[in-house]
Amino acid sequence: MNAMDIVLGIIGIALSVMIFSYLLGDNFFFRVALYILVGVSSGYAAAVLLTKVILPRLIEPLKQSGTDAFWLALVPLVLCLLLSLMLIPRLVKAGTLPLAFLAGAGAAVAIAGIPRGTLAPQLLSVVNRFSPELLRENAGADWGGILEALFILLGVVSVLFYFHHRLSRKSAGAQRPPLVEGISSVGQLFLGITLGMLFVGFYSAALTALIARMVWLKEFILALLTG
Amino acid sequence: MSAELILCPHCGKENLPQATRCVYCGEDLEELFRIEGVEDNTALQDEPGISTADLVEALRQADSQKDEKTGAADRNGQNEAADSGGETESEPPAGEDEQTPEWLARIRKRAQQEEDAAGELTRKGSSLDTARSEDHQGRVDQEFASWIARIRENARRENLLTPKPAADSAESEGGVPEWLRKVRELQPEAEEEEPLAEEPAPEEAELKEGQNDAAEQVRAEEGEPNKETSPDENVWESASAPEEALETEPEPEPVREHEEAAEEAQTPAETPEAEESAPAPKTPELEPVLEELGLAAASAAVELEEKPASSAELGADLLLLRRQKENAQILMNLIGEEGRGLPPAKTQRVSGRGWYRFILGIFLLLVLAAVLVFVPEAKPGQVENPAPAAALKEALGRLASGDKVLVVLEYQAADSAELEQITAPVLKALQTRGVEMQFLTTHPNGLWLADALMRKADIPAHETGFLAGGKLGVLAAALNPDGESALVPAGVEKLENYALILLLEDSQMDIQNWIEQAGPWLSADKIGVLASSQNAALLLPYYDAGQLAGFAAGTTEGRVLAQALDRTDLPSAPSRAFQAGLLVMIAVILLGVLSKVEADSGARRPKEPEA
Repeated sequence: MNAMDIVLGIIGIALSVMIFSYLLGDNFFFRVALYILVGVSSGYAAAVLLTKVILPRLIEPLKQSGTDAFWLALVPLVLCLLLSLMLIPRLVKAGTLPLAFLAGAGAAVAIAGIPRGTLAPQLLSVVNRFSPELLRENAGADWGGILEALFILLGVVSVLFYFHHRLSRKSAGAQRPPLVEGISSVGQLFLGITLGMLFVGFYSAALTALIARMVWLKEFILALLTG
Repeated sequence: MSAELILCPHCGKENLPQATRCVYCGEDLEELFRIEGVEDNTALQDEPGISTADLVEALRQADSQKDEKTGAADRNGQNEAADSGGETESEPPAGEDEQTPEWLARIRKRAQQEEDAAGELTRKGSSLDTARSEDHQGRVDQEFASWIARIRENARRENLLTPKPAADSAESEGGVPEWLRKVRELQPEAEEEEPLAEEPAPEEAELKEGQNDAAEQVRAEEGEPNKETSPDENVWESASAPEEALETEPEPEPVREHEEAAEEAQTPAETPEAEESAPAPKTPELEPVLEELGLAAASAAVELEEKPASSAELGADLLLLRRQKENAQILMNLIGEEGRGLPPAKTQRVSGRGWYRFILGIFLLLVLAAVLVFVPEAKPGQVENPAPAAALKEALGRLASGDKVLVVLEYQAADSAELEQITAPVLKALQTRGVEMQFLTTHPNGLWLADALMRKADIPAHETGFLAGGKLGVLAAALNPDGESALVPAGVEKLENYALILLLEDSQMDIQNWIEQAGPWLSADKIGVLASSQNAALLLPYYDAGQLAGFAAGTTEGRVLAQALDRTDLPSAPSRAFQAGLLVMIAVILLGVLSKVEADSGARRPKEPEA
């Protein structure tokens, strides 16, 4: 272990302790560590965007005067200039054009992608589980598959019931029929299981990161002690 | 509280100090235009029907009296030349007609002889306008007089509200007031130094005595008691000193000469009115004494915020008093706050909750540290991989030497430990099998995280491309027909050419971007995912829908996947510590549930006897 590793290790330990100090509440050291993280990340991202995007895709084409790339690069150049005018309070409205372009393009891509990538495949997945072709392919009734399909159908319907009738109950305040109440309760149960699984996933990820950090600390201290 | 309210002069009820109209009777309060101490101007108070013309005439008379006084002061022959000059200015010269040129005399004679060019009708019209203007002028004068009367009334009311000096403050011992004696007690050195620095000559002392005698004589003639006036009266007197000087008798000649000489010696450019209107600054030592005597509040109430340079400016502009400026500041603050959101409400911290968090956190850290240090790591047993991980293992197993795999890094540094544990064995297996890998990232952090991952996996370094634009960039890469798009990093081919696109993810949004933007353009079983454990629940529907070739989420599935690929997991995968951490969390959740149940039952018990 050389001197640089030792210095970096000590800095890492100090930052880790500063982050751990959040156990005592929001304090100065935790905020300092957080600001360092945000500042370093932002600076690194800015440097990457400058070298990987702005220089090769905007500046380099502008050097090739008269080519198609030159004329195409003028469009992002103008948009960038309009966006940078937002730094001047009186010219904030000039930045609405590139922002509107970005928001419109992003919304269009999302609207086109969500039905094709999520809604339609998920719905077809539920419907296809009840396809008669599955019986033919499996040469008989796959009761396990059918039970699973029914379970999925129950989960989808009950969760939709829960969300739909929860909103209607909020708006109307009327007493719901027992059947609707029961299905909504089942949907609430499915939601609880899903959220519990999400919580376990988040906790597992955080626990893994914590353990990895503690393993690193242990190895660093052992390396310092053993030389 | 009631001291802050003001009384309506019309109905006598209390109103807020900011109110301009009475909330009971609706009459104007005119608080913003009140001038304190104006009631002392008895000349205006006694004549409510005074007009503007009368005021102007009074000012002219005052000027003429001042000139007369000046002439009387210089009666001993000092300004005879000036008096004669004044007479030549006011009266036309006797020989003016003789000095008038002939052409001017003809013009005047012609003008007297000729009729008015406007004619009789114009004369009538102009006389009507004159009459109308006189009526209008009369209304203006009446409104002005009523306005002055309101100002006087408000000032009188304010004067009643301001604290008066103590009655015994006027008592004096040997002609020295009590407040002056206290001041002298506080500043004995100054009292002693002044005579040494400026010891008045006997002549000057005589002059001062004569001045005091003259002032006392004037007070005696006016019938005023010989007492100390209140500060507001002093200020008003200082502001109206020229008018009072007109009413008093002329001072003795030597006294006036002495004062003029002293003023010229000190500030020759400063006008006497400015000197008289400027109040004397209070020293910090004087303030307690003045407060004790009840003088500080009154003097502070009439302290001018802006001191005009001359009495002309004092009379021209409305004086901004302290309360008026405070009212204006309140109004400015209200205008400034317009449109702004309310400040965030401060959440009240529950005392003791921070200690619970600290104890639980320390307990978890101690348990993990103890397990890492003292508990030996056990070899993981053979665990059956879940279906998505098994499917991914099959997809990886189908890859042969020369096949291209696009590895996309989309995770943050915080999850790098988990993702590296899952991914490193897979990458090592692909490298051993001769699969050609290309690295791509959509996050700037992915550039250095890719280097760390390659070092962890012990594979040769590969160049990592940066795909900018988020979902737009993913769509551009999916629609890259010939692999020569300028929006896609160099070296990245058409996505369909890759045998597998392996996503290393810790974000559901990034996974959806690839599935929604690139998935529809790719054939089935092209996308495999190695994800953090927090994404397992959200990836399962996509796998069930057939949109993923398979996925492995979390270190447990990653370890099993590595075993299936004949790769031992990384040595820094402490499964015992992970199990201990899960046990701690389960214990905490159970404790939380039990405490909640107990708290609910405890809250229900007091209600039962009532029922």
